[in-house]
Amino acid sequence: MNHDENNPDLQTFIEPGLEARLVAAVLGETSAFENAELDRLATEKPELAIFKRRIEAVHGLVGHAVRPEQAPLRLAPERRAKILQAIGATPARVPGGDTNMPILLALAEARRKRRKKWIWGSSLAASVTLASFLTLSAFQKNYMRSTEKVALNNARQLETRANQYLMETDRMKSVTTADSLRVNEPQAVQAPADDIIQLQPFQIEKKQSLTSKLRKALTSPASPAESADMSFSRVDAPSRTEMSVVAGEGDNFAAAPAAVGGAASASAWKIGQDNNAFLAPKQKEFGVKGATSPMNRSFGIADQERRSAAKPVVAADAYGKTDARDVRGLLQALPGSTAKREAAPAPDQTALGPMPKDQGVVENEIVVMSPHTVEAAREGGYAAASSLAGSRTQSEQLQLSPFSVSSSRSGRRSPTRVASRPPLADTAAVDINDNFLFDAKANTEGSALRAEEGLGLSAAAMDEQLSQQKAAATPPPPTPAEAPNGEIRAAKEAVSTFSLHVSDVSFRLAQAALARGETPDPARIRPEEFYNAFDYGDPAPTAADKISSRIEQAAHPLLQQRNLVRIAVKVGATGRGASQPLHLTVLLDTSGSMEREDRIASVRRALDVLASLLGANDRVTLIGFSRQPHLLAEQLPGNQAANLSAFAANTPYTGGTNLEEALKLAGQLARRHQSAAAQNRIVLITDGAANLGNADPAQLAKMIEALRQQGIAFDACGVGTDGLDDSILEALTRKGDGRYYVLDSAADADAGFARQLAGAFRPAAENVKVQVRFNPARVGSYRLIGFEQHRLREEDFRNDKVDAAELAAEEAAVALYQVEVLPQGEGEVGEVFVRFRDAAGSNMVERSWTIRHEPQAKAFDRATPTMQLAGTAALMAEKLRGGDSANLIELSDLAPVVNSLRGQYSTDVRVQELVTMFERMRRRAGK
Amino acid sequence: MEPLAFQSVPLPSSSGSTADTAASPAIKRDAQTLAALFQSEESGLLRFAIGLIGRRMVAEDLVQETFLRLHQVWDQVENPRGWLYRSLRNLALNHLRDHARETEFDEATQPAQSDPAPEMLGQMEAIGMVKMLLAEMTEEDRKLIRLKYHENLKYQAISQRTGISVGNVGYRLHHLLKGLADTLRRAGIEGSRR
Repeated sequence: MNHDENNPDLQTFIEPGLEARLVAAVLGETSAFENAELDRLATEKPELAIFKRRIEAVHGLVGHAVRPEQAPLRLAPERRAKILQAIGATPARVPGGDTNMPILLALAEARRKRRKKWIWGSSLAASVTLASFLTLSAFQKNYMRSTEKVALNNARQLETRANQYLMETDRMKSVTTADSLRVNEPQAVQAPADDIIQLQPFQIEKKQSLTSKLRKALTSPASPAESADMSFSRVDAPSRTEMSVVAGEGDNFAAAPAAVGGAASASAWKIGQDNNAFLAPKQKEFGVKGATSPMNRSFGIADQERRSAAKPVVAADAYGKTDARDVRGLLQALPGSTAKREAAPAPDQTALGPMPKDQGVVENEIVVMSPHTVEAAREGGYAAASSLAGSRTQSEQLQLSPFSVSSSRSGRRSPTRVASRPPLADTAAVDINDNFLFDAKANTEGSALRAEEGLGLSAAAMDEQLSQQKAAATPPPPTPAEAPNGEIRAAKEAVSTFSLHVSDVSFRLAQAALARGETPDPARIRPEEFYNAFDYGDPAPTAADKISSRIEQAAHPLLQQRNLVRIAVKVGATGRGASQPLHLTVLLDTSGSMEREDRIASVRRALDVLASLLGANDRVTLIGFSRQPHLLAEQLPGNQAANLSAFAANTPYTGGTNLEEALKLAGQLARRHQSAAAQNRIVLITDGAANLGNADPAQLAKMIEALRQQGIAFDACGVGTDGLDDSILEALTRKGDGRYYVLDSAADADAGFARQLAGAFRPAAENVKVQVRFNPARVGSYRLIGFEQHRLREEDFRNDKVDAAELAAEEAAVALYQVEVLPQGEGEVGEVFVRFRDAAGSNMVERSWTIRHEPQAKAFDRATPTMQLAGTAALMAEKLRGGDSANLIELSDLAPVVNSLRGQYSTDVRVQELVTMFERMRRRAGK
Repeated sequence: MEPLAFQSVPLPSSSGSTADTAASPAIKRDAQTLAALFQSEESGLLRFAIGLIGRRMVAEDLVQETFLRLHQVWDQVENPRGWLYRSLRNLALNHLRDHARETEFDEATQPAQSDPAPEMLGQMEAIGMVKMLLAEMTEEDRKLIRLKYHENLKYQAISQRTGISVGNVGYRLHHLLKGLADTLRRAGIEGSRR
């Protein structure tokens, strides 16, 4: 089996057992340990890697082949008609004359009659067969009763019915739209269309006074048949549509093509009644075909689909100029119609969302503009689809992640989703920019506002309220779970401001957790610390510039109509000179847990590195702490700092962790030795959570903040990755404007660690704030990925009293935005402002760069490696963080890019770690 | 081997009607079955054909032709699904052979705007091939694939479902996938794209 004459690489024999293990690894059956082992083997023997890649490829293909298709393709309507006609007759009927397409027969009177007979025959046969093994739901019986009533009405109601057809017509249109756009439950949408098509013949036929038995036989199979078919594929409605087109050739069925064509006006319908104008419905039929087939041909190319969504609706509108008001009136007048048609397939549709939502279909859908009701198509869908920016209702725009936005346009599920979401999303929308400003004063106010917004206030009213709330400037803090998902509309809030805080701890912790075979704690995932964990090789600024920037864009790999924008800034090499002394207070955790050999080694190494960075003018104070803090060394000159690790080594490690007491002492000592000319910092080295004294993070944060206000910064170094109280340390360093890093093993305390320490000790830029001003004429909405805890208010950007993060010399920092760029918009995407205090000159520096509009943003898999790296890291973080949008991130979609990263950054350890993490994530996900 | 098209297209919502159909094998060969086959395979076949030919119009021609031919020989075909894919592929290859040297002015064979980009074709062809090969597998093998890929079960769970030992599940899936990989390779499909 192993040889293939065309491919020499296949001829290598692989031991069958090993092969099976590789397959098991691809299928996600193996443990992390086993995977690592196999990876190791694969690097030794390239043929294993080749084999694995091949199996992975097949694995992906089989996955595709087995999975139900996302956007089924269909033959052209006339072809389908022909096939169905041919096979529909099998084998009971001789398919004589079937070769002619029904459409060609439209004008031939004699043939029409024959055809009509045939249709009766075949639909009878079909219905009898179907009825024999499918039951009719009670619901549909009701439905029939109501339609019977309609049918029995007098000529005035013919008018009504004509309108009804128009409605159906538009409904069909929207169905078509929905169908081609999306994907998940097309059956649901198509089914109602089915019903109605079957209904039309039935009603008219009533006029012809056929026996009711026949009627029943004819109508009843409609839904069972479709439900049966739907079970197997989602493609049904069109086929029935074709049947009805055929039926339309019968004298009595002029109305049916009208419904099918979806474009017939009331007059056309009437003419159809007179049997004289078959051309009209036929033409309409072609009209539909024209509208639908291009859509069918879109193979999931997101942008185009979305844009073309407008077309069918427009067409529908052009044909049927019924007043929306009338239609709604009709809907109300015919209670059986909307709700029941919607609900009719319910019993067969397990996959559907909760049905009760559909009962409220009239109200709901105006808001969400799901395309499958008449109002939606007319009022909402029409306008909304034609302009991406403006017309979506406020609440939707704010609250939904792009995933849900697009699906609510097209999806039946949307009412449900929207109904369940508003409180959450509005919070995000309002608060996202003011994230970390704790003050719950307006809490009640805010929630009242939110409730109202949920009810769908007008955009103007919301504007007002939003600005009021802004003025109050005290929005309630969102929980982290809510904030990440919200996009912000540029029209509402065009400015995004945050403190450019660089760390990689979250990445390191997640990596360690995955390596242990655990799922990383979602609360510890901070996307900005993922994509800032890498060196992107961004260009350094010239000496005069102090800071440089690189901005690049690419299409979002997963979201439609979204671009990723990577904004990288890099500080110049001229940091604070070594001339400025450093006054360092090191707080060393000496609790029992630190006694582990690897941790002692890590700490010793860390202290050595630290000592190596200090000069004669620097002073170090070392405090060990467990239950009680004790001073180990005070004001040690930097050139004697090599003794630090010796001091640490002589300290017994025992007892709990009383961080509060330790901080107090450190604060006292730091203040005692504080010097305005020096850089004053406290560095905490710990391996775990504070468990004695006051361990309340808020309390501790206050202490840190107070110290910071007195000019003392606070850094934290976590030792080991398990048991680390990540959130506390992160929050403390944020308050202290310091660094946060982890030291997992002694080997970690390498050049990178030294650089981080040096960066912490010699910041080149302080108070680094970034403000991005988006151009609402070009940007629909945007989202800053990560930095949830570092966001600032717009006005604080130039308020230098508001603290922000530091950057070291030659340090780069990256921010990643997800931006909806409007293709028909105007101008550039926006501007980036960076403001910081130049540590060398101690004056504030502000720079700005333009984010240019790139009409043809590169596809993600063709983007620059740096862009791919940042995007992949961010998406992985979001996936790990979980939540709604995470479910939509398919790791397998990222696999090709990750593979290319593997090659691109073959020597970059960090990136290789990311690749390994990615593989572990995939295995954990069982893919 | 029971080549019922339904069984290889298990969708979650199909429980009711699949059971019905399975319960009445006597009528499985009637028009509805062929119609159902059409419904379920139309899209996959069309993709396959487009993947092979690259022209939507021609592909539609071929798919239509395939179904009409199946209709003719319906009674003799044991595995209609596999037959469809195999025949379609043969038709497509014939078409390519016959038209290879023609300068095409025919509208139908001109690349239309809506035809997919060349890089998509390979993928579509590959998936179609896999579908064909899956359809031609024995029912037992297909069941394994289904449990693994559709229901996303672990070896362990598959073993419980089928009564096959865990080791054997692994062995068989290994050989199934490997067989697929080798066949695809021989057919000239790299399949490395996803």
